[in-house]
Amino acid sequence: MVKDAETYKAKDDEHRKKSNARKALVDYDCKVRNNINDEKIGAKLDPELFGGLLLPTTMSDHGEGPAIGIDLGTTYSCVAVWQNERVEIIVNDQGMRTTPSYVAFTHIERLVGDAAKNQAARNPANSIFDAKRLIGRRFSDPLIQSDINLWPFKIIEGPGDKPMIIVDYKGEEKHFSAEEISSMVLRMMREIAEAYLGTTVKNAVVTVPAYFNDSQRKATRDAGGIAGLNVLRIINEPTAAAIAYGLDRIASSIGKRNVLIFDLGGGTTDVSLITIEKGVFEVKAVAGDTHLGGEDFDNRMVKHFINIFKRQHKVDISVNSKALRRLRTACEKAKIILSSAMETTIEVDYLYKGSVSISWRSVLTDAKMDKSCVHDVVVTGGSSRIPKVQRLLRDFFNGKELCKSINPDEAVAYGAAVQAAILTGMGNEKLQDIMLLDVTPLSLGVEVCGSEMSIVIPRNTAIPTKKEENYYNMSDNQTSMLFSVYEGERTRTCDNNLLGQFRLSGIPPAPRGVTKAKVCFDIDTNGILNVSAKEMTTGVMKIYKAEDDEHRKKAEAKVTLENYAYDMRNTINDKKIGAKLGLVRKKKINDAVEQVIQWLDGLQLVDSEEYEDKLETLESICNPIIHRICGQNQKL
Amino acid sequence: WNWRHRTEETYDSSSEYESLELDLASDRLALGLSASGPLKLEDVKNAYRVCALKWHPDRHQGSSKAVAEEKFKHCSAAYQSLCDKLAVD
Repeated sequence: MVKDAETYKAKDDEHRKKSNARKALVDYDCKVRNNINDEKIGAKLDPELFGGLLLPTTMSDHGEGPAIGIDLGTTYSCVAVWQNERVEIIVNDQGMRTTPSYVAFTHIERLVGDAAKNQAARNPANSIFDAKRLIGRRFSDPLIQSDINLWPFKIIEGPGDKPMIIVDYKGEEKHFSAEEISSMVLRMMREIAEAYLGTTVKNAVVTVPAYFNDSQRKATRDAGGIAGLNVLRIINEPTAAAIAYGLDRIASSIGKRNVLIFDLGGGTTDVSLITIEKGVFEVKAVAGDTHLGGEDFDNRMVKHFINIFKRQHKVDISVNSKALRRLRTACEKAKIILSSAMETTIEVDYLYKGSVSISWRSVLTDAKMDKSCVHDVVVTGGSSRIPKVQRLLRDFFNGKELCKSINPDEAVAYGAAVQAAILTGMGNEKLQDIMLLDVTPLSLGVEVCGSEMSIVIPRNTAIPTKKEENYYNMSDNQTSMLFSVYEGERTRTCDNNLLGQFRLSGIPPAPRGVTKAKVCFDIDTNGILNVSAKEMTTGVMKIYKAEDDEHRKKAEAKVTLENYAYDMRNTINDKKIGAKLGLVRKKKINDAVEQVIQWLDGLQLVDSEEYEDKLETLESICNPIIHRICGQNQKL
Repeated sequence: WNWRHRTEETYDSSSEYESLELDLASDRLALGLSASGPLKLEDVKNAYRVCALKWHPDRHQGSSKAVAEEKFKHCSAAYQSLCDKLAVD
C-alpha cells in the first residue's frame, strides 16, 4: 500500500493541479453569482450544533470474571491473562503456547487449532486457514483474487461482494464467512483460557494489525461477538508489543524513549513509531502492509517449486490440492529451519526488499523524526527471526543492535492481556500509570465533486477523535446530498476504499453553494468510525450505519439464544430445581434444550429472526414450567 | 448528486478572520493555556499531553467516561488547530 502511494504520487499530484485550477474557476463563478442573488450570504450561519451531533457512545459492560488478551494471528493465535501481578501466556491442551489459526471440517466433526492443522494434508479442501487475510475484505479485492489460486479450499462470491468459504461438513455443503471462521478460532482461545482459569471468560482485548482498515476492524470485533466474547477493545498489534517491551522499563526509564516496533508476522507487516514517557505509550505513526508476512514467503516458495516441478517433470501440481498442501507444509518447515542459516535469504530476498523498507521510512517521515532519534528498534512476529530481515533493519539504522528481549510469538498477546487488565481495573499499581494513546492508520474523508477525496480526519490522528467539516450543494435546487465515506491516502476516491454511503434528502431548494451540511466524523477508542451529517437550515440529520449491522444482529441473536439454552440446561441439572421438576417435565425441557444446542452446533449463521423464533419457542416450553417451580416473581 | 466543499473564507474573509482569532483563544483555553500572549510549540505539546492524560476515556469509569471522551476529542482538536496555526506562522 505504501509502495503504491509512492508510485502513484506523481500521477496524483498532476491530477490535483488540474482539478485545483478547475475548482478555482468554478468557485469564483459560483461565488459571484450567489453574491448577486443573495444578500443574506454574509450572514452568520447557526452557531455550533454540537449537542445535536453527539453520538451515543456504546458502553461496554465489564461484568465479572477475568479479562484475557488474544492475539488473533494469520497463522497462529496466542492467549494471555494478567494474574498474580504478572502476565501468563496460557498453554493449550497440546501444551503449546500458540495455537494454529486453523479450522477443519470432516464428515464427523469440526476441529480447531493443532488438531485441524495436523490433519490438513489429508483433508486440504476442508481445512481453513488465513481467515485473517479474508476478514473485512471484498471478494473483488485484487489481493483476495490472487490468494484464491494458492488456497486449497474454495472461496465464492457471497452477497454484498463478501467472500464465502465453502466446505463439506458432515456430508453437507456449508458456507462460512471469514468472521465465522475467526470466531471459531477465538472461541477456541477462549476455551483454552477457561480451562486454565477454571472459570468462564467473557471479556477480551483482541489485537489487529495497525494497518487494518475500518471494515477489517469491525469484522474482527464481530468475530469476537459471534464467539460470545465481549470485546473490550480492539488494539493494534505493535502497540501491544510495545507494552510488552516497555512494561519492565517504565520504572527505570528516565525521560522519553522513541521506540520503533517492527512486527513481521505470518500474514502482515506493521511498523509503528511509539514514544514511551512516564508510562504513556503514545503512537506517533503507523505504516505497513496487511498482506506481507511469513505466509507470503511460503507462497513464494510454493510458486517457485511448482515452476521447477513443471519444468523438470512436466506435471502441474497446483491442481492437486493434496500435493499443494504437502508442498506448503514442507516450505514452511524449511523456512523455519533455515532461519538459523544464511541460505534462506536466497529464496525470500527479492520479496521484501522493497515494501518493507518503505514502511519504516514512511513512519519516520510521518512522525517527522530522523532515524537517529530512534532509541530502540524492537522486532516481533515469528518472521522477524529471518536473518535477512534483521540485517536490512540493522543496516538502515546504521548498525544499531535490535531489541530481541521479548518473545516474538507472545509479545502481542502479552500486551493485550495488560490492556485487558487495565480496562477492567484488575491491574496493580504498576498498571495504573500505563496509558495508550493510539492513532488512526488511514486518512478518512468524503467524496466531493470530481470524484475527489476530501479528507476530514488525516492519518495518524490521536483517537478517540471527532471532527466536523461543512459541505455545500453543488447544483441549483438540489434536494438531496449523497455522502460517500472513503479511507485512504490517494487524491481520487476510486483509488481509495469505500466504507459506505448515505443520503441526506428533503433539503429545501436553494441556489448552488447555499445549502450547508455539517458532516461529523467520530472515531471511538477502538478506531471504529461513525459518521453523521446534518443539513443546517432544516436540521435534517442522518447517521451512517455500517453495512455489517445485519451481521452483528445475527450474531447477537445467536448469542442470546445460546445463553438461554445453556442457562436452562444448568437450571434443570441443578439438584434443588431438578428434584422439584419431576422426570416428565425435566425431560420435556431437556429435549427442547438439547435440540436447540444441537441446531446451534450446525454453526451456520442464519437470519436473526430464525434465532428469535427458536428462542421464543424454547421460552414458551421452559418458562411456564420453571416459573411455576420457582415462584411467579422469580425471573430466569 | 454532486456537491462540493468550500471554506468559509470564500464568502466572507473578514468575519472568518475574527472567528479564527476567537477559535485560537478558545483552543488555548481548552488546553489550559493562557488566552493570549506568546505561544511556543513545546508549551502546546506539553499542555496537550497533560490534558490527554487527564481526559483519555480509559482513565474514567461509568458515567464520567462519555464526558471525558468528549473532552479528550475537544483537546485533540484544539491541539491540532494550534499546531497548524504555529506551522503557518
